[in-house]
Parts: sequence; C-alpha cells; structure tokens
Amino acid sequence: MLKKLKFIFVLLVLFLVPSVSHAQEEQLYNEFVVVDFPVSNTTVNTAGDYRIEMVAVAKPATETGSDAVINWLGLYAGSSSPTFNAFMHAGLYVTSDGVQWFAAAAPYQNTAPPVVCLAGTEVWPNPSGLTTGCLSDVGDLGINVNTWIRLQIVTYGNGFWIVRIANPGTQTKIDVARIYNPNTYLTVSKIVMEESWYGTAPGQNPWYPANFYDVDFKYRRDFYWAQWPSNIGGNYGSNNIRENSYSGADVCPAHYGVNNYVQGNPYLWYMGTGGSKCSGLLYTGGGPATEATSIVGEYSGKFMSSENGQTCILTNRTWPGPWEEWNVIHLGINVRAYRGNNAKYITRRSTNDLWAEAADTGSNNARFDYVEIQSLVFRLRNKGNGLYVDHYNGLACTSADKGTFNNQTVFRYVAF
Amino acid sequence: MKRKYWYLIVILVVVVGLLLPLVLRAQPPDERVPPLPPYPGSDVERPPLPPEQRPTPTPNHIEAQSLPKVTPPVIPTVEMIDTAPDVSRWDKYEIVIQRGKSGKKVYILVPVGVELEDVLNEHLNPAEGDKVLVVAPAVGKGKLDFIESMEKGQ
Repeated sequence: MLKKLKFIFVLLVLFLVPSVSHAQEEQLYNEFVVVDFPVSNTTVNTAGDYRIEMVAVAKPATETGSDAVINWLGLYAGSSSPTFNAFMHAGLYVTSDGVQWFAAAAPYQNTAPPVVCLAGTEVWPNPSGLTTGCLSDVGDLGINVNTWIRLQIVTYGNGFWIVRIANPGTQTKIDVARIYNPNTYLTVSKIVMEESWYGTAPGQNPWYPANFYDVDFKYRRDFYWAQWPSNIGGNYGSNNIRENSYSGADVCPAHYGVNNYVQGNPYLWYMGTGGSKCSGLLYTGGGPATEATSIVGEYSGKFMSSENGQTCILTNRTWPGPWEEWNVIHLGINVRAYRGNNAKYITRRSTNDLWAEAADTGSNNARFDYVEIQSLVFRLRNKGNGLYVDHYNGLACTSADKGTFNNQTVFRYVAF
Repeated sequence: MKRKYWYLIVILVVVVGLLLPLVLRAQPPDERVPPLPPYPGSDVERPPLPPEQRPTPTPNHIEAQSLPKVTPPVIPTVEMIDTAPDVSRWDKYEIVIQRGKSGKKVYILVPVGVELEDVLNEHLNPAEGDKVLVVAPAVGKGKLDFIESMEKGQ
C-alpha cells in the first residue's frame, strides 16, 4: 500500500513541476484592444486608399528593448494563402523615450512581402536577413506626444502599397515605406491598441499607461474621402470592438478599453487606459453619406477653407485639414451646394463674399451652377446673382462677383 | 500510524495540485493588478482629453509631391549578430549599428533584459565612427498569433 502511495506521490510531483514552471516562464507578452472594421462593402474593399489620424497623448515609463504601447492600422490585402504575404501595418510606437512611427509587414516572417524603407531604419530582419519593417527615430517628422499624424496606406496598382505619414501641424507629408504586395483587394482591416511587456504572466504585467485617440478612418471613393461604414457589424456580427490577450489576462475593461463618440463625434474614439467599452459597435454611420473632398484653386494650388464660418471663405491653404473638406450636395443637374466642417453651407452675402454660414440650401445664394471644364475641374456660378466665383488667389475673400472668366475662377476637386 | 501519515500527505498533495493552477490563474485583483486611480464620480481612470485639432495655418509655400517609383528594387540582406541563439527571436530586441569604416549596417539581436550599454560596450567602436541607428523593440510571439488570427477573421 505504501509503495502505491509513493508512486502516486511521485507522479503528482512530476505532473505539477512542469506546469508551474511554464506558468512562471519569463517572455514577451502582447495584449490588445481591437476595433474591427468591416470590409464586405465592395466600394471599401476595392478602394486601395485608406487613411486615419491618430495621436499618442502620453508616454509610459517602459523598459528598453521590449516594452511599449502601440497604436496601429492593420490591413490584409489579397488572398489568405500563404498567410503572411498579405499583411501590413503601420502606426505609432510609444516608449519612455518618446514616439516613433513604424511601417511593417509581418515581423520576422520569411513569407512576409519585401519592405523598402523610404525613411527611418530597416528593422526586424527575418532569418534570411531581409528586413520586414521600418522604424523611425524618436520625434522624427516632429512627431511627439500630442502630435496628430495622418497615416495613409495606399496602392496605385503598381505592385506595392505605400505607407505615407503626415504631420499636419508642420505640413510635412512623406512616403515612409513600400510594401511589395501586388494585391489590391482588402480582406481585413483593424485599428489596434497593443501593449507589449516582458515578464511572467499573468501577475507581472505593468499595464503601462496607453492613451491613444483615433479619428476619421476613411477610404477613398473617386475624388472623395468617406468615413468607413461601421454599422454593418464587421466580421463579428453586431460587434466590432473586442480584446485579445496573449498572457490570458482580462484586458478590458480592467485595464484597457475603448471610449467611443468622444466629444459627440462618432468618428473620434479613444483606445487605452481607462477605456470602458469592450464590445459592441464603435459607431453607426459612415459610407457615402459622409463623402467629403477638398476644393483647390486650379492655378493657385491653394485649398478653400470654411474658416469654420468665422470669417469669409479664403482659398489660401496648402494643407487640407478638417476645415478644408466639403460635402458636395447634388441639387439637380449641374447644381451644387457645399457643406463645410461646421455643418453650414456656403452662401453669398449681399457684398458677394462667400461664407460657410447657411443652415440649409433653400436660398439661391447657397446654390451654385457647376460648370464643368473637364473631369473634376470646374467653375461655380452663384444662382442668386448669376456671377462666377473668384478665389482672388487667397488674398481676399472668395466671392461670387465675376461676370467673365479668368484663371482665378477655375477650381478642382482633390481628395488630398 | 505510518499509513495515516502517508494518507495525509497524499491528500495534501492532491488538494494542492488541484488548487495551485487555479490560484496561479486567479490571484486576487489587488495583487495581480494595481488599482486604477479613481476620478470624480467613477472608479476607473479618465483618459486625458485629445489635443485640439487646430485650424490649418496659412503656409507660404506649395508642398512638393514625389511620385512613387514603379520599378521594384533588389533588396539586400542584412548582417546579424545573434548574442543568444538559444533565446526565442520573439524575445530579442535589436540594436542597429552602422560601422564607421565600411558604412555597413549590423543588426545585433539581444535578449530582453540584457542591458543596452553592456552590448554597446562589446560591439560598438565609437573611435572608428560606429554609431547606433535605432533600437528596435522585440515584437513578441503573441503579435504573430494575433496577426494570424486576423486573417482567420477572429
């Protein structure tokens, strides 16, 4: 009897020791909060041009070499076989040193598509010695904590995708990487907040402060940018917010989560520490109803600004921010109205100056004849006084006061 | 007496064996997770407000745009020095060094936890113009699993 008991005892010890040591293994772990964007809409999955604006609001006190909090846009373009040759992602890497942008295929993978860095440094080589990503210096392009960036991943169908990063604050925009994936069909799209940390799971996770905002995840549709349609539930039925943990931890809402409808804006959300939403829809809306484009003087190259309705409209910007995007309203054959970021329509005052201040398009002063010169290039003639719109090269109010043509009466739609 | 003693040991070992995994997985929240600082009216931390999106300033130049090139380049392989071949690649960060003499880039793979300075003392020769280009964090196997799950629609 005693021998049997000893045998059972030894078996139990042998069983327990490995399981305990595995649980205490030190390694790098990854925790995720994810927003899944549906790609079943044909207009979306064939657009080939996607952009989002993101910002890191704080930096955590991380250990060098492993720990970071990251905000990234991840896309799969093309077939799923072999798996990793379709993946690409880019975003912001935040450590105690500061903020770095990155653009990469699947890290370390031999099957990852070739990546060429046009800026930053080649990193994350695979076993064959081919690098799979690009990483910037801290603060490159003037990107730091509280710096909004515009991240664009676009293909023009010539065999690769371009990762383009802009800092609207400094009006710097550069192509930072090419990812050689010839597929143009989008199969997966996600915005991810990630924490990577080194230690023993589950107890040693430092749960670094992670504070990211994301806004205006858009796709290009002709010469418009449109908000991503998010009301069809993505790949998760009625949910497109979720968590994922490599360590098995309860990530959301205990540590990280999403806050949506920030400042009442459906297209502005928070990911990170203190976010409380772990499931459900990010927003309802998006799609063609949100199409917006910029209007540029054909010969001046300057963008038309709503001035948020605070002054007359000026066509003098070289960078199209939110104030320089317009919803185009079709009111009939070649009759248009334009709604600015302040939800007001362009209208003509008695002085003929144009202002973004009309509540609706009922008045002829808020309606314009669209006189096409060629595709996307046009003149506008106000229905109220029958005069053409002149942008005065941005040196004076854009006004409907010309009875004849000149170079300053020619405009173009540009989805910049 | 001896038999009772052995029974007691076996019962104890069985009970510990059953409970240990549960204890490891479900430690009390206050031990596993440091409490989040409260904010008025709630028990979770309030995220900071987003920086305001400012109106576009009037610039005085037209940005030059460069068009993408169509010809795919030949991508060279890089030289790697693996300081710990036994450690998983997922748990190693990399220090990218440019040699002063040859201009070549060298990738030093270092296990997380090994001090950066120790590695630089061994591999960097500032007198010859060597310089650190960037330190790239380790990625973590969990990221690969996550990327894989993305394609499967999870």
